[in-house]
Amino acid sequence: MKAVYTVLFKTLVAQFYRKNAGFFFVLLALAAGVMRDQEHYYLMMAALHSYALLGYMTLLWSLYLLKTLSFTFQSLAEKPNQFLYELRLYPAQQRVAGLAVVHGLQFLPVILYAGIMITLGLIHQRWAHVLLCILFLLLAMAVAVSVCDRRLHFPGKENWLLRLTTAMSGRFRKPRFSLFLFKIVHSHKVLFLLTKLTTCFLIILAAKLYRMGGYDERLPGVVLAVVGLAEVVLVYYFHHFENVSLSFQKNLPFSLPARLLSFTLTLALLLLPEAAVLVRHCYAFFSPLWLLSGIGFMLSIALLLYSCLYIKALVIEIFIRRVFFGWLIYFLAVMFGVPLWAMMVLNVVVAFFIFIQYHDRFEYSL
Amino acid sequence: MLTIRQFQKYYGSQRILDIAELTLPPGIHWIKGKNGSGKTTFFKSLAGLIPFAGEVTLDGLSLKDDPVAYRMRVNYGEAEPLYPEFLTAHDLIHFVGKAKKASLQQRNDLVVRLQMQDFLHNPCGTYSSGMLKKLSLALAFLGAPQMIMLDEPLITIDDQAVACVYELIRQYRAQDVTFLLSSHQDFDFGVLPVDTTFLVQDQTLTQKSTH
Repeated sequence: MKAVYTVLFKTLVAQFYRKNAGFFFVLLALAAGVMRDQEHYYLMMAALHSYALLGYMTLLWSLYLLKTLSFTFQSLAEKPNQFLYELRLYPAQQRVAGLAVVHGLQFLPVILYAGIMITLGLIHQRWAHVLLCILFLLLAMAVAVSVCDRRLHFPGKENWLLRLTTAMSGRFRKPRFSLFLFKIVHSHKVLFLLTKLTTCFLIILAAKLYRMGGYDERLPGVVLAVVGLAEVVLVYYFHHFENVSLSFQKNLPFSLPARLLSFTLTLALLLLPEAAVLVRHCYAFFSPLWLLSGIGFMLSIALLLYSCLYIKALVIEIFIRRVFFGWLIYFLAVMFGVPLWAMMVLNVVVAFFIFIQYHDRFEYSL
Repeated sequence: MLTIRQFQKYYGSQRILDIAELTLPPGIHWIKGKNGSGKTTFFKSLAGLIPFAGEVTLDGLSLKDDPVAYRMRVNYGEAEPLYPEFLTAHDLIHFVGKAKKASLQQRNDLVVRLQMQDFLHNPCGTYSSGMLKKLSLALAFLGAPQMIMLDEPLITIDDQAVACVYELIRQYRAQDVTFLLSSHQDFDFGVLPVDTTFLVQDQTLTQKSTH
């Protein structure tokens, strides 16, 4: 059985943390660098006194669970990992134990955080909240193990979303700029959902804080920079998709400006949820011009990130790290009062210049 | 006429290809070479898929100076094609066909001749390697190219498809299209009139024989 644990650890746990190193880097930077111990304490105590906040937290934890499951499913679908289906031949007890260990380790960040909350809850005698946390953890583990066990028995089974999009897909032609959206539905649903939920939450939070007073336009400016940069992983996968799955299109007769326009349209579609939330929550106290430049600012950051990927192919961890440090530049620019439209224009000009200079010289190899 | 001057391709510090000067007249050219000799790199460079140093022109049109017009005239069929798993052959044929200005009749004709009707509306993720190969061949013949490069065109496809590929090459050649073919299998010279054989060896391309 030890050999099974070793194989499962190497293929599903170590790879999970390796492939999501960028995500954990940003998470750690936010959790340990931006938030102080006291703020974590207040947040946990607030959740232990509010069912609504606890509900929101469990929603975030559920999304993380989806992320782990999505990784396991994708790993099982990859050819080099298909030997893992041999797990079906093991007795149910051993199989379930193996999967429980895998998901326990993948789910470790949530278990640790919830563990601290449970300890705090026990100290402060918040019995109902503690019970809910424990029930959530047990349910999450049970769901993860049973869903994965089912996948081992029914490999390649398409879900309803995939069936629906496949059925729809044959019925109409897909414009070039929309192809990555189909890729998201096919392979990056959880990532998309997590990104959009986080960015929309940040915009709503900034709008509420601004409305409460005490903040000027720099607060939403900083948040919009964060939102633009938070697209980093989606932008990275978009670039990968264009240069690996659609590599043949470099042979197609499109001019560089036409290619850049198509990429910009895709990025604009990706940012539609944030744009809608921004308009919905800020139209009452910001001018339409400010809102437009805010949306343009987010889009221009995503476009700049995309263009920068043509300078040199980078592994995702390094790219995210560089982007995180790049955020400091935007932060300082906003704090020193540089208007969003000016940064937007600068981003677009630099992105265009980089794209034109590097697109034809770029070769995807990692 | 394809003209190559001062062509150099490196991967990192490793030199893959170095061709000082080469002119390929219209015709069917067979590019031979061992595994890893640089045939695919050569094809991908000429197709504009990967960067290189030097100059490549097709009837005076430069790949670097007239990238759009050049790409309109040069098609490429990959040895081991890879397409997004959720797109169908129908999607891809119309996507590439529109870009290469292929008529609807040409698109449909290729689908029928390569016997792709049965899987035309299925996503590529469900295709066998032979189906993917047929799709890549269909894409390579779209539009009005002056030169088509086919990397290992005969692998993984059935005998009927092989016969169809021979026929397509002959038909397009009659319309003055130049072909660069790479294959580890011997071509049937009785069916396919190969004009010249080139050998990729020692990081360069040399003419081996004329037929």
